[in-house]
Amino acid sequence: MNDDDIRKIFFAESEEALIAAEDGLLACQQGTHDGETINAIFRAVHSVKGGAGAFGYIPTQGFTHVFENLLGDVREGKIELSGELVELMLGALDILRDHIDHAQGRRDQPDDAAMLEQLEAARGGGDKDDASGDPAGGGSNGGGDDDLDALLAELDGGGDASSADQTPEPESSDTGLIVHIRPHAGAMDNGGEPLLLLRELSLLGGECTACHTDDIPELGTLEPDAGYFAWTFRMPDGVAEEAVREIFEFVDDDCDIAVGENADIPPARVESTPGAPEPTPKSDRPEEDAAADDKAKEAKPDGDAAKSPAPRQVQVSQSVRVDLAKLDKLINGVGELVIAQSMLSQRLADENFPHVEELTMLDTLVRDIQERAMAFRAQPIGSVFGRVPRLLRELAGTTGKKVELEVIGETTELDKTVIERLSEPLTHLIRNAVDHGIESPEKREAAGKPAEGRLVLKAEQTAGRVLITIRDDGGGIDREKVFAKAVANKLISEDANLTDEEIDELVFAPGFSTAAEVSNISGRGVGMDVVKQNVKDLGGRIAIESTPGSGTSFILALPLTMAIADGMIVQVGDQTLVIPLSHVIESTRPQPGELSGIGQEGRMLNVRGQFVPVVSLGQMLDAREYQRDPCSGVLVLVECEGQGRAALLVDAITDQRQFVIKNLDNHYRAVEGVAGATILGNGRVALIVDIDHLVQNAAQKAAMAEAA
Amino acid sequence: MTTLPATCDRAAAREMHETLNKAIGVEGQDDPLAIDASAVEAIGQAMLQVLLSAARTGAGIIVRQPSDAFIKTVRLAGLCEPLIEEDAA
Repeated sequence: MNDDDIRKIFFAESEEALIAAEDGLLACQQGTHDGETINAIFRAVHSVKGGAGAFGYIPTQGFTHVFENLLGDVREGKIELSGELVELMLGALDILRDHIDHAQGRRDQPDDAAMLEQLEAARGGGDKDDASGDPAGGGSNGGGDDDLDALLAELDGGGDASSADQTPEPESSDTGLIVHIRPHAGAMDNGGEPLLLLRELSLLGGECTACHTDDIPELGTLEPDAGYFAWTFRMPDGVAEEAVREIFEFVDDDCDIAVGENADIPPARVESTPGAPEPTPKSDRPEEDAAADDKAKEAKPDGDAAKSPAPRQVQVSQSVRVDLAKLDKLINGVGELVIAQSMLSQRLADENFPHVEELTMLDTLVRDIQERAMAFRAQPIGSVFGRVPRLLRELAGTTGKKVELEVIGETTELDKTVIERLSEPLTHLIRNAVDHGIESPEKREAAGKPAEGRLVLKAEQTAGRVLITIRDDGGGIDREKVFAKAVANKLISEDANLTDEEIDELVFAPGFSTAAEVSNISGRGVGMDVVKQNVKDLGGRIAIESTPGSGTSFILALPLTMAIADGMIVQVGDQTLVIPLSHVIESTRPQPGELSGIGQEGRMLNVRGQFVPVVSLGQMLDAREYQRDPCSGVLVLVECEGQGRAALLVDAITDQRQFVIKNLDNHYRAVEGVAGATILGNGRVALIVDIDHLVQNAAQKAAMAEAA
Repeated sequence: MTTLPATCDRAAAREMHETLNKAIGVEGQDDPLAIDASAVEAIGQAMLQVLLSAARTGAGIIVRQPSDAFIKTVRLAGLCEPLIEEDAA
C-alpha cells in the first residue's frame, strides 16, 4: 500500500466522517443533543484533523483544530448548544468539506477566514488553555496522532491537578461509581498512554483505590509492550457513568472498562500465565492487594450495583476495502456464469433432458451467487441523500426559502454505479423543487401553509426496482403556464387537447423552462429533459404527480443493477429479441373484434376500453418474414416514457429469463432502437429492444403517414 | 546504580527491561538493585510495568531519589506502596 492508497482511504474516511458529523448536527437540530451525539460529531472532526495533519494539509488541519476546540467546549458543557450554534457548525462543516475537496484537487482553496472568526467568537470566553498552541493535540483525550513527549509532558503537568484533586474526601468515599480499567497493549500503541486516561479520571475527582498488578510476571517473561495493569477507581458522588465512559471512547477497543462495585475486573488480553491471578511468590504484599480489593467491594453494596454492564466486547472491524475494478471483474465473471448456465440448460433440453434435478440446483446456486455478487456493489442511497441538507442550506441562502427535509428509507440499497450517476439528476430535481415548486414564505403564509417549505426524499424497494420520490409541498405545477409556454416554444399546437398528466409531462420536453428568467439555481443550461435522459440512461424511468396548491412529486423508478435484468425473449421473423420485463404489462393474442383500423395502416388494440396503438416490431426492424396479422401473432403491451402504452406485435414469446446486459457501445457502437445485447442459451447474440425509442419512432412514422 | 532517563516512554521501557533482565534475578545478586529516578520528567505505563516486574524478580529493586514527576505519576497509578514508600523510604 503506497502513500496514494492511504491518501485515498483518508479521503474516503473523511467523507464518511463528514456525513457522520452532519447527521449528528442535524440530530442536534432536531433536539437530540445528548452526549453521545456530540461525541460522535467531535470524533468525526477529530479524525479528519488527524488525517489532515498526517498528510500535511495544513489549512485543513488548522481549520479543523478551531472547529474541534469549539466542539470540545460544547462537549464539556462549557458552551450551550443553541440552534444558532448548530447552524454555525453546519456552515463550518460545509467549509470543512470544501477543504477536503480542495485537498483532492476538486476546487479552489476555500476562504475560511470569516468562518474561523465566527467559530472563535462562538467559543468566546471558553477556556482555551488545553488546546491552543497545540494544533495536533486538540481535546484532552490523547489521540493517536500525538507525540509521546508532548503527552507525557502533559501528563506531568496535569499531575499537579490530579494530586491536588486526589486529596481524600472521606465523606464521599463510600458512595459514587466504582470503575475498573484494563488497558490492553493497543492502548499504548501510536503514542497512546493509559496513564493519561487515569489522569482524566482523577480530574473528575476519581481516586485510585487499587492497582491490580497480579498479572505482572517476572522480568524474564515480561513483554514490555503488553499491558499488565488494571486499576480500580472510585469516582466522587454525582459523576455519571457516561462521563466516565466518555473518557474511554477513543480507546474503546484497547481498553476494557467495567463500572459498578460488583463488576469483575476485565481480564487481561495478554497470554498471562494461568496462575497469574494467584499471588505470585514474589508478590511483595499480596494481602495489600486483597485488602484494596475488599475495600473496593465493601464500598456501598446498595444503589445501582445491579446494572453494572459487562465490559464491551472487542469489536474487530468486519469490513474489507476492495478495489472496484476487482469487484467488477467478479461481477463480469458471474454474468458469464449466468450465460454458461443458460447455455447448459438449453443444450440439455435439446438433448431431451428437459428436467434435470441437478440443473435446478445449479440454477438456484447461480442466482444466489449472482445476487450476492450484486450486493457487493450495493450501497445505501443515504450517501446521495446525505448531500441534500447542504444543498438546501445553500438554496435557502440564495432563494430565501427555508426548507425542512424529511428523509425516508435512506438505507435502501442501490448499485454503486446507479448511486454515482443519480446524484446529478437528484440535485437538479431538488433545486427545481425549491426554486420552482416551493413558494416564497409570504406566498405560503397567504395560502395558509407554514412559512417553512417541506421536502420529502423517500427511497423504497419494490419488486426488483427502487422507487425514489422527491415530494415538495409547494404550489404544484401551474398547468396553464406550462401549456402557454409549450405553445410559445412550439412544442405543441395551440389547440392541442391535453390531459393534466400530459401537460405535466411537458416539463420533460427538450427546451422547456418555466422560470420567467433563468435563475442561477436550476437554470444552468440543464433542463428537465436532461434529468429524464439521465434517469433513462440508468435504465430507470421518471414520473410526475402534481396537485395544484399542495405540491409536486417526482418519482424515479430505478433498476437495482445495470448488469442483469429480467427480459422476455420474443421471436420476430428471423430475429430473436429481448424486451426488458420492466416495460411489459401484459401479453395477449387479440380477437379480430378487439382491433380497429386507424388511417391507412394504423391499427389500435382495445384493451378494456382503452385504445392502444399496435406497433409491429418486425416492420420497425425490417425483419424478414414476420407475422403481420396481430390475430395470429402475440401482442405485448408495454409502458413507455412519454408515449404511454403501446402493443408490440411479435411472432411468438419463446422464453422469459434473466439476461446479462452487454453494452453495445463497448463492443460495437451505439445503435438507435437497440438498448444493448445479450447472449442467449444457444450461444447466439440477441438484441435488447429500446422500447421507448422504438415506440416514439413508430408514432412519428404514423404521424408522417397521416400528414402525407 | 541504574538511572532512569528523563522520558520513560515505551522505547525506554524496552531498553530498561533488557538492562534489568541482565542485572536482576541472576546469581550473585543478593541486594535489591538501586534505581535512580531523580531525572525522571515523565513516565508511562510500560516503564512502570518493567519496574514492578523487576521488583518481583530476584532480590528486587530500590528506587532512589524519585523526582516529583515520578512520585506524582506513581501516586496517580496507585503504585506508591510497591515502588516508593516501601522500598525507597
